[in-house]
Amino acid sequence: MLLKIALRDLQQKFLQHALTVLVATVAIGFSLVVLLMAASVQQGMTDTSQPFDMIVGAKGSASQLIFNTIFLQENPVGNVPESLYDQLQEDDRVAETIPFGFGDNYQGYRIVGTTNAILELRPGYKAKAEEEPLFQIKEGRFFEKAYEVVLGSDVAQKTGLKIGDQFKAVHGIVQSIEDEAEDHHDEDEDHDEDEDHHDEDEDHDEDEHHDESAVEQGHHHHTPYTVVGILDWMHRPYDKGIFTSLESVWEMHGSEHHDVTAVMVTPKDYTGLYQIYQEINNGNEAQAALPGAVMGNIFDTLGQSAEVLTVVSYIVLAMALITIVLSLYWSVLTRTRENAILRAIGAGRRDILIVVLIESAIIVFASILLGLGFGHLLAYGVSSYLQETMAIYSPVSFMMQEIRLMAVIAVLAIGASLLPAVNAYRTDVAKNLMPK
Amino acid sequence: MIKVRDVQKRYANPDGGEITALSLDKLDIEAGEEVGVAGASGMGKTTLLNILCGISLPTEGSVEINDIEITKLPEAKRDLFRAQTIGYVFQMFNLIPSLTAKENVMAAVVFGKKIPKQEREKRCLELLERVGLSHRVNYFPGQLSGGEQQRVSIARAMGNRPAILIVDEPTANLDYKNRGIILDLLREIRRENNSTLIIATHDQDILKSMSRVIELGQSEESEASIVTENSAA
Repeated sequence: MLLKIALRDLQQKFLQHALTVLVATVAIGFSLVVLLMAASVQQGMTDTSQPFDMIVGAKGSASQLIFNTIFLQENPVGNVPESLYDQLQEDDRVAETIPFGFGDNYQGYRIVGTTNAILELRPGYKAKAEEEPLFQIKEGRFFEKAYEVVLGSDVAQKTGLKIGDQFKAVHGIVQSIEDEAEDHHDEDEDHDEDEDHHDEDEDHDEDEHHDESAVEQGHHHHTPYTVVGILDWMHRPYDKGIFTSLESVWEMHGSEHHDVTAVMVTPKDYTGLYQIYQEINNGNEAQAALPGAVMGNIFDTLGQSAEVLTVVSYIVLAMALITIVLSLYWSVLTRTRENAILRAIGAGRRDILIVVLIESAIIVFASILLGLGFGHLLAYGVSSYLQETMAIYSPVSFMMQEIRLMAVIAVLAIGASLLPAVNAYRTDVAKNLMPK
Repeated sequence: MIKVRDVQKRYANPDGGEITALSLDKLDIEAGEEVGVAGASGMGKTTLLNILCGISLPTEGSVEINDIEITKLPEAKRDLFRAQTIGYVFQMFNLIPSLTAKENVMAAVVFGKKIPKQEREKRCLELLERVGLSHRVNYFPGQLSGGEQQRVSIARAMGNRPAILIVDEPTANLDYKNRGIILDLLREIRRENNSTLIIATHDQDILKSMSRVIELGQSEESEASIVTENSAA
């Protein structure tokens, strides 16, 4: 009977309680998004950077080097001479090197010059033999000759390019290999053809969104690339990459200097890693960046923002709790006479208290369930957006932490609703039996 | 049997003093009696009814019903005693607007804990049929006329087969036709259950039909006490 009385009261004041649930749902949803996304974005970025022990590139911003090489975001810092790449390849402390050369794009998708060493890239730290390599050919084969490309699965899906298709790359990455070659090797004389490109590139320097501007403003190279393979999904930013041989990139730009934008270095052991790290960073030629450390710094910065967001979300949650309590308090006030009638026909004070607590529990659990749904939906939206724009895969899953958060919300909200419940408990029957 | 002894009900005045709402030295009501409570407004009729059914406690004095001194019972026990022993029909019907006619009756039956669970539904339907509302069991109070609401209120008061039926101005909000129907119904039900019937009213016709009438009014000692008591023919 008490449940029926509570349900009927909720039904009678449906709009009031529905608005309360809506406010609480939104508050819980936003708090959840902060919680879920902070964890999943960090996980997604960590997973993405894990295969890369150390990245060597031009002097400059370490995070820019990491973001350009691993996440295919931002502009390349610059180039390092081929000699350094050769030196690293021959270094006894090095187990593996993968070179990267950036310079062009197709419809905004970066063309990544590399070697078939990239086929050995595996998901975890330190190449583990038991792990499947990241690069799996879904269709066709890997590139073998110049001007052959293998498409990341997202590129294939979005552009519709198929095996055998040809396309012309657009000169587009800001500090391209060719430009760096010009900057570093002034003795190059045959620049006539490239001067226009250089001017364009300088303009792009000011434009952070280089991909789009490159598509709009860059010029097409004459030699077309031919699609020879399509990669399987990696759920990483490399799904948005077009992979070709370094030679293709060099030939495309007609540069005699075979510089590379970055080299991924997998040392044989940690001692080697730190020795090489020190040596390179102490020199003037290049920088070595440790993705794990760079990511750590980024997460520290992000963590501070996440903390602010968490505090804000807790404030929003507290306001939602107050809304629930106020709504119940108002509900109790408007039902004072009904409570007095119930008391007069035999209901005990405890029965009245229980009715209010049942109502509170229904409102709170409805808010929690809807909030969970809304939060996950919102998190899915943010996750999809990150995936779409940056190919950072941050799958959202249920966490123990959110169960704990929901439990805390439930206890606090129902606890706070004791206030109106006690108010109802104290109903003076004789005073409230007559209509006011 | 109801025994009221030296009952005083006083309230604090806004100016710091006290007002005596009711002062009764002695009142006895036998089981099965039909007693009318008369008196002008503010003379303590409703206060007396509230004290008799344990909704209010007197400031002083005692009320004993069937050898149980309800003024000494803890509140929870008094609530249960009221639910099981007393049926209260309110002046303003006082139905719960969010519950249907059947649920309103059921609430009293459930809180009374007197009728076995499996019989409760049947009991509610029988009572609503008894008051002529078997076709309105699922109607909400707002969908019923004043007379129908009062009949639901009577059915609810009878839910636990109470020994005492207390009725406050049963016809104040009803038209002439419904007034007669409600009075006949109250009497029939009282006879069927051999209950004590106490009706507070201004209606002289009702008062004349009661076996005894207590009139509350101002006396030398108190603003509200029994000034006359007579037995009707």
